[in-house]
This record gives sequence, structure tokens and C-alpha cells, in this order.
Amino acid sequence: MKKETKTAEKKPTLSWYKRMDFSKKTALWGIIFLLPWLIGLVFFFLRPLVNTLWYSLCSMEMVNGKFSGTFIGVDNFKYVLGVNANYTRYLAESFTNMAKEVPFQIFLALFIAMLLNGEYRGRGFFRAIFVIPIILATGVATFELAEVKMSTATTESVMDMKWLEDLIVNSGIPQQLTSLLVTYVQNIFKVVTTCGVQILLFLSGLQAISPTLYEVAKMEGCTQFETFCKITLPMVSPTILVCLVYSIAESFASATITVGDSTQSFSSYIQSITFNGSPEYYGYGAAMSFIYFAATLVTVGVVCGIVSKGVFYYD
Amino acid sequence: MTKLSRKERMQKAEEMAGISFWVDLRKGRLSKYTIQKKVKSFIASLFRYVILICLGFVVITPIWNLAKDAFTDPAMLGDKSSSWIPLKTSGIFMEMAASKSLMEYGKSLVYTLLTTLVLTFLQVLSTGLAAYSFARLKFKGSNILFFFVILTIVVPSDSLMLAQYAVFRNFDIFGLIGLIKGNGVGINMIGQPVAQFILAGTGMGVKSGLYIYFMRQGVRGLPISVEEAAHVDGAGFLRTFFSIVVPSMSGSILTVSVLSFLWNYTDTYYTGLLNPSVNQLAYRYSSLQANVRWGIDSAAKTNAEWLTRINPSNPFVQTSIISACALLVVLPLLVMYCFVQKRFVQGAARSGLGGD
Repeated sequence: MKKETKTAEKKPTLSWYKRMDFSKKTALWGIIFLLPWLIGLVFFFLRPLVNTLWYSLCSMEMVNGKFSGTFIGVDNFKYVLGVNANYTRYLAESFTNMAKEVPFQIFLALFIAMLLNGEYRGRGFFRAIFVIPIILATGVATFELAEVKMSTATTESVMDMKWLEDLIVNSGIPQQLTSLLVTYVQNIFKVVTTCGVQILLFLSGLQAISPTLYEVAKMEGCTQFETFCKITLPMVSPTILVCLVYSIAESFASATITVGDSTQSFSSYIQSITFNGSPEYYGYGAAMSFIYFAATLVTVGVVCGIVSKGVFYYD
Repeated sequence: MTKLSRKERMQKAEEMAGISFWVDLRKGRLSKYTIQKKVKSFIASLFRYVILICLGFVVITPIWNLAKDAFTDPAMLGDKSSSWIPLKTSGIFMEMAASKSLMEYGKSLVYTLLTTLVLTFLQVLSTGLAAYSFARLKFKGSNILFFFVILTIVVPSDSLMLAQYAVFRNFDIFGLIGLIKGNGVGINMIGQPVAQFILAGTGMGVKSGLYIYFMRQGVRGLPISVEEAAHVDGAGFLRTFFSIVVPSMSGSILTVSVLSFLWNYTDTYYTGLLNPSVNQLAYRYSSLQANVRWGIDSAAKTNAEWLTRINPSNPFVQTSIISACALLVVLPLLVMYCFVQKRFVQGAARSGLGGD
């Protein structure tokens, strides 16, 4: 008996794992590493996504703590788009806001990142300051109280820019352009606070550009502007694409709409309709959510399709 | 300091003069182009500082305003002379905000920090593993799955609100739990932090898609030869990941951890949906914002001395109290940020967050 075990030890048969070749092992471990995320994707993302679509086609009921629906076709969608007088208006509003905000956001983020990049005194200090917008963007530090109607004494701002506004409006530039400009300037607080992540992305994109490229450009006698157009812009163009996707998604997710005199976030509007107590509204709310999501996806798809044509990949 | 002879001093002065721009300029030793270049770079740096300081002001102002409102003495509220720096300061608003009926600060802070730390850990772990898989351990279909990462970034979490709520209202994977309990009904996880932990641990938490993207870029920036060497030396995949990859991408891990902490800390959406607990600071704050009047009244009941000093229906008082609450919410973040700031910004810049 002893002898037999000894021989068995001498020639151990390799386990199935050890017999596998390296590329297969890599694939196996790739799936294992991805497993938590895959479970999440299937159960907490794809299934809810499909369910949302299903709810939106149903009239919902709550039975015994469980949702159940009866299929009613596209009635909910018809109701949202056709009967509800506000939804399409809100959707259009968030679209126009997005179209106004995102380009300015990207431009400002690139501009700030370029200023922050490079060697100068106090660099660490300024870089630290410009990450604070990420905290501000969460909306904790900037608030508007619903109850409080401020008296005119405080709304009269310390930095009154009315004269500048008048100057721009009366300068003879087309009115659409000036009004856009004025909105940008008035919203600069909001835009700066929403572009923290983009600044971070651009900063790292700029750091990744090899300094030798700039040296060559200098030797060849490029002006600063040419250097920007021929080197900086193409090299950060992949980052621009990423920032666009992020900005558009964020802009939709935090879209605000005007209800009467006050503003409200789009998502809280949908939430208030969905959870107003009666389960019949669940299907209706799901249809709203689904249209909202489809609009985001289509916009991102179209914009990316156009922009990615101009993106330059170095390697 | 050794005493120099006159000759040496002259030599040194000349040396100094030789490299000094102003001396050269005065003596007419500079070419036109050098002067031009110098002036240009001076203007450029002036321009840079002016813009950075202006935009920095824009960034700092909201936080400054919070602090200003929170520390103004009730008697000085609305006074023009206190619109930037309060003439008289007092801690009464902070005291009220931290009190039991408004923020219940001590208890809420501990609860929030603990849950946020767990969430951050789970999220960084799950997204890190996924990111490494996407960057290095390619398998068939891995690129298609990466498309779903982009999808999770793009789809607003609100649009899945109802369905995700339903999943956790009746939590039951594969129908197993219902089978064990025997009635086919799963666990109601609403109202417990577990639901959020599950989401974070499976890489579906707050902005997880973005973190996967960040870290994938971080891994791609590492030299692959080190990992190959580890494999050749007989390290398994887990060992390679935890003892080679994780230490060398600590920059991007730090960035993602800080972002994850920050966003989980201030997240009110998932908290409101899955775990509407008043102990979560940001959620408590956001619900307080809607009816601050009630909060002030009940605070005044517990301490009548406050009511003699403030008038709860005064809008300035309400603003000040809400500011104090907001400051209390942001304060831990700012303190944490002060500690990690230097490494965070450098790490972010080096981690190669940029595009492909």
C-alpha cells in the first residue's frame, strides 16, 4: 500500500487548472474578476432596465408587496407624449439647456485645465482649489430655500453687472448671441461648479502629452496658437469625447425644469408623479423614465458619432 | 559667512549683473527678441493669475458664504456691513444646527461616516477588479461588456428608480430566498443600508461606471512587462493583482476612493430610494431644507433660550440655520480633503484618466 501512494506522489497528474494554457487562464480569471460586476449588471441594471420597459407597457398593481402588471400596450407612452401637456415641454427644456451648457462647460474645463497645467508659483494651491467644485456639484453647499423669499435688500448684489450687460446688449452684435453670452456670464457660478470632474480629466489628459512635441513645435517656429491647434487639441481630443459623454449624461441627470415660477429637477418631477401613492401611476412614471433615458442615450450616441470622427488617437 | 575680498565681491556682482534681466536691459545688452519674449511671458503669467484668481473666487464664494451666514450674530443679520465679513460673530446657529432636532450631528456623523466607508471600500474593490479585467484579462466579449459600462454611465439612475426599488422591495436572486421561506416572497431590504452595500459591491453604486473607466485607464498606463514577469515567476492572477497592480496604481485608486467617498457621502438619491434613514447627513439635510421652519420650532422647544435671541420666521435666520447645517455636512469632506489634497491632485494628474 505504501509503495503505491509513493508512486502516485511521484507522478502527480496535473489538475485541470494547471493543464490549461495561459490565454485560457487569462480569460477564466477575466471572468472571475468581472463576476461581481456582471452579477450587478444583470440583476441591478439590465433586469431593471427591461422591467422599466415592461412596466411602461403595463397598468401596474401592487399585490402582496409584489408588483404585477397587465399588458396595455403603448397607452402609457401615448398618455405621456400626447395628453400630458408638460412632459414634452420639460423634455425640450432640458434639451436646450443641455445644448447651451455642455459646450461652454467643455470649453471652460479645457481652458482652466490649460491654465492649471504648467510650471508656475502657487500651482499646488490652485489645483487644490479647482477640485472643490466636485464637492459643490453635489448641491450641498448651494441651495435655494423654498420658503424663504429674500427681501430686495439682499438680492441687490454686491457685484452688480448690469452696466456690463447693457454694454454688451447695445454693442450691435446680434441679439441671440449677446443673450447667450449674458446667460453664460450669469450662470458662471453654476457652470464652474459643475465642471470639476471635467477639469480633472483634462488635466490628466494634458499631462499625458509628451513635452518633446512642444519642443519640436517651438523649434519649427510655431506660434502659441498653432501649437494649441496642432498639438494640444488633437492630443486631448479623446478626453474631449469622454468629457462630452460625461457632461451630457450629467446634464440630463441633473436637468432642471421651470414649473410655474420655481425650478425643480426633472428627476424629482418624475419621482413625484411615480410615487404619488397610487400604484396605477407606476406604469405611467416608468414610461416617463424610459423616454427620458432613451432621449439621453440617443443624444449621447449622435454626439459621439459625430465627434469621434474628429478624434485623433496617437498610438 | 566668510569675508570676501573686494575683487571677489566685484566678480560676484558682475556675475549677478550678467544674469539680471534689469541690468542687461538698462545697459542695452539685450536683443529685441529677448525683450519681446520676456514681456510676453510676463503678460501671459499675469493673465493666468488674474483668471485663476477670479475663477478661484467663484469657487470659494459659496463655501465662504455658508461660513459667513453660519457665524453671523443674530443681531447683525441682513446688515449691509456684514455682507462679506460679519461684524459680530456668534456660534448660536452652529449650536442649533448640531442640536438634536435639526441635524443630531454626533450620531448622524458617525453613522454616515461608517456607511460611507463601507460603501467606498466595496465600490473601489468591485470596480477595481472589473477595471483590471477590462484592461488586461481580455476574453471573448469583453469589449462588448465594456459597452455596458458606458451604458451604466449614460443611463440616468433615476430612470431605473422604480424597477430597482422593486428589486430590493422584494429581494430574491434566482428565487432561492422565496423557496427557503416557502411563500415565494423575498426579503424587504428597503430601509436598511444593506441594499446600498449590495449595489456598491456589485459595481452598480453611485457613478461606478465612471470609476471603472478611470481605473481601466490607470491600469493601461502601467507597464505590462512587470505583470508578465510576475506571471513568469509563478504568481497567480490574484497575487499579481493585489501585490503588483494595486500598489503601482495607488494614484488612481486614491483618486477613485476620494471621489467615491465624496459622492457616496453626499448621495441623496440612493439613500432616499432604498434607505430613507434620517441618520444619513446629506439626506437629513436635504429633507430639512424643505421645511426648516418646523426644525427651528422644535429646536426652540428644547432650548427656550434660543428663542429669545432669534425670530424663527425671519428669512435671514432660516438661511443662516440652513447654512450652518450645510456647513456641518460639508465640513468633514473639507477636513478630509485637506489631508489627501496634495496626493489626490497629483494622483489624479498621473493616473492617466484621459481618453484612450
